[in-house]
Amino acid sequence: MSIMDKMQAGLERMMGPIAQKLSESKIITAFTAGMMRTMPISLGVAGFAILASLPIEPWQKFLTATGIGQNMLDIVAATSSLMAVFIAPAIAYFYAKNEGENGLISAFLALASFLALQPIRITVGEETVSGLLQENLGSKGIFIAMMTALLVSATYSKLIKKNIRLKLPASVPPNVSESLSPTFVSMIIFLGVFLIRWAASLTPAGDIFTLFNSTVAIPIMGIGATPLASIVVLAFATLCWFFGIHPAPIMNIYYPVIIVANTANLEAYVAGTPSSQLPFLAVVLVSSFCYIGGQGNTLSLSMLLFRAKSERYKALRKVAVIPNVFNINEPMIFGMPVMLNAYFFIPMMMTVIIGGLYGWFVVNFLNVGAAFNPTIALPWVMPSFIGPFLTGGWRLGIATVVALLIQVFIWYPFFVMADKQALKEEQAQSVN
Amino acid sequence: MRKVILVCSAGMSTSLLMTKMRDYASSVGYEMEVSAHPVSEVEEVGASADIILLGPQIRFNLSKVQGLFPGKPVDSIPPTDYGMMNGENIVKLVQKILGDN
Repeated sequence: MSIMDKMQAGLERMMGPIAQKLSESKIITAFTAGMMRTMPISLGVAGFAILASLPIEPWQKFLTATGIGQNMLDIVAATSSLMAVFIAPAIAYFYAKNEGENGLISAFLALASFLALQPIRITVGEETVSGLLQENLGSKGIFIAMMTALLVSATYSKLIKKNIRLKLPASVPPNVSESLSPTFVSMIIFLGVFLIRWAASLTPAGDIFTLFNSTVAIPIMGIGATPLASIVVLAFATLCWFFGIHPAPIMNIYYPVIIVANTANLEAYVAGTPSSQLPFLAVVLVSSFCYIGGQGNTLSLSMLLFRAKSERYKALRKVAVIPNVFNINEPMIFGMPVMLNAYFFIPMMMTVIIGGLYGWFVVNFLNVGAAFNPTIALPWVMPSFIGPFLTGGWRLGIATVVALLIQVFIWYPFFVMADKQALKEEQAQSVN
Repeated sequence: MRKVILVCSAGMSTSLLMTKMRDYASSVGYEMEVSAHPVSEVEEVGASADIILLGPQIRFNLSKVQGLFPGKPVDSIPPTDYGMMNGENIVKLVQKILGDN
């Protein structure tokens, strides 16, 4: 058995069941489906974010003079930065629905529970006002929104299934106790919420948000939201992709950290923090250099197909290049194939690691994120060489194009070898 | 009329294959309706299908999808045909599984 075969057998044995478990997990399923349904909100307001930040002097003057610019930014602030408010009901909806229970009731209970945990007396200077803190509905509330959604919807589904109801005297019509059953379930849920709220109020932190963010969240974000962690995670995801396993189930575990980082950047940006000082600038930008044309940085490889001499790769060019421009690289992975191809293992991993280190360098030392605008959310099919121009201006755009060229050079010698081999096989076949 | 459901992670790459399969099916006059979906929607869309095919990248979902639709043919697409977006081979695979030769 060659080393490659051994590696494949080993990884397949290890990854197959993990990926299967994750994809079958009720929690991950609800989480993925819920998160996906919140996308239309940030994508829907992205147009305003782009318009408000166009660097054209007369346009900016017009936006300021008319007050249109402020309203555009306010729309973004009131939607994209309140992510936790949308995440809680979306996840709870899908969890209950997958359990065969009423998704909408579960969603409302989760949202209400999430709000019921909020501190609602806010001290501003010397004054205490009623209100909700924006950050508790955004970056500081996302983890809690996810946990609330899962706990509430799991409890709801379980109790409804158990058919918990009040024991009323036999003379009471049966439909009365039946109609009270959902009320009984939600009373139990809110009792739980109350106990958590009360327990948190006894701690020095005073509320669950402060408590969580001053303890558990610190190591999660401190380790997870760093460029190194994102390079390691993306390298691992790329390894899965090399073995033809879609990395989505694995990425979903890391995704909450990225959402919190994005939302924290967005809040800071809306509050007037300059781009280069955003709290999680490096992690967000560095990962974008490890993902040019989809997992495994195949856009550069697909461009090399234009230099192909073998019929096989010429044929692949016709089906693979255009989808890859839109970050759909299955034709490259399975058609080239990159999957399990000894020629491509080293360059594929190198594109991620070198891409990440390059990204870390240009973000830290060349300040390419100076014009990064975290309020602009783009759909994932946006071509990798256009997106950064929109989100980060010409600096980030050019830095990405340079990364793409570096990746072309990384793939090039390995591509030439694979192409030669394919040509040789074709010639051998035509002789026969 | 046969109904084929293709699923992958986001329903994007299978939508590419969908057009290729349609082209081949209409060229040989095979009556087939085909649509592409993300795997998260398979429970909703799969019930009316005659056959469900998974992209090779999500083949680890095979037993889950088979469990959702006992008795329905569910299979994963061979990686090479998938990569080359070979609509002809995959329609032939569908015909073979459904016994429509």
